[in-house]
Amino acid sequence: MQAWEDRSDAALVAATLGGESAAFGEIVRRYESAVAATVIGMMGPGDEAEEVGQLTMVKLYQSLDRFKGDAQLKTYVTRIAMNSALDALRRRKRNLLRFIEPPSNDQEAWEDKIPSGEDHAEAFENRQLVQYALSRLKPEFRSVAVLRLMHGNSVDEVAEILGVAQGTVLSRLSRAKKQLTDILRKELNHG
Amino acid sequence: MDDQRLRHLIEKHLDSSLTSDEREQFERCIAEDPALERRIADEETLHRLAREARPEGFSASFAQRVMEHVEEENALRRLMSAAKPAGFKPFFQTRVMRRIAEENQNTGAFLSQAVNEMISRLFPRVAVPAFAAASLVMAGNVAAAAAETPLVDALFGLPDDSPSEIAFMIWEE
Repeated sequence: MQAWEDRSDAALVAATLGGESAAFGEIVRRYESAVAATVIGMMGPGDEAEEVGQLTMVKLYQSLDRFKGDAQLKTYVTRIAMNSALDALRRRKRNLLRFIEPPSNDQEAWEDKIPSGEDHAEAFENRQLVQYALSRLKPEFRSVAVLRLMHGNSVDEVAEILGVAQGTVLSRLSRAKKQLTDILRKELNHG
Repeated sequence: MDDQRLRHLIEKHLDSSLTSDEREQFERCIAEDPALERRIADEETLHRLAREARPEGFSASFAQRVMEHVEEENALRRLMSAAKPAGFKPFFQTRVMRRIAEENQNTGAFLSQAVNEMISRLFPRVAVPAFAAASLVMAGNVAAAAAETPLVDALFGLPDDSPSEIAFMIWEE
């Protein structure tokens, strides 16, 4: 019998629907990191993000019978994760409409001030810095930034996950990048 | 070239997926606008930083906990499937359960009087079993109860003509 990890997504979905919960275990393992990148990217690390991750997987399980296979399973689960994270952010109430820093006039080079990330402490510092900058964005901009920059999805994939037009993604992405660059530049130059 | 088109080309450049025609167009843009090179360098830096900042993942027990939720749900689904009433509003019941879960977390092991009264109002014909089931489910697993599960339909179904606004009354109570 073929091992679960060697089976296609479609085969795992079919097996899960047929009552093989071990098949769903493989789906969870396969897409845990995608869900983590989405949820933690949107909410920051912590117990709340972990709970939203759990909820995402339970929702995926509950809705597998509605998964038609016309999108990739990764796209489908990322969409559930993003919607769950956005719901959780709405529930938080605070931080929903954070003040966005006005663009900095300080255009000096910032690449040289970024820690190289070669050792653990520097990598941690970079991660904290990016997480902080992301947390300063409104959710609609943060979602495109997380999916495009952290996940590495193409613009078309981001549009499919969020259910918006490609032009909307490009426009939000442009603003998100501008804001992130301004925040990071400011932090690196004055930090 | 309009800004949208330029953005499109920049994103494709960052993905290294420009066609030869697009690359030609893109290089022409850079030649015409020296500031563009700076912008692209900034974007490349941003992409690199964000990629390196990708979260490492959830806790080691994440998958195991998901599967525990799934097994619980399967067991409850099997138990309740025979008694599942038809024609109920699933999202309404989910909200009610979530509110009960929050209330339970705030007040400890027992449901508050306000929630007891709310259950009586919502489920006048089945208030006692609804209360008992809510207590059991809450005590057993708050997270599972808060998730959208068909079990909630089975336990707390309301007729289709019930006013959904009543859910918000509970939220604001």
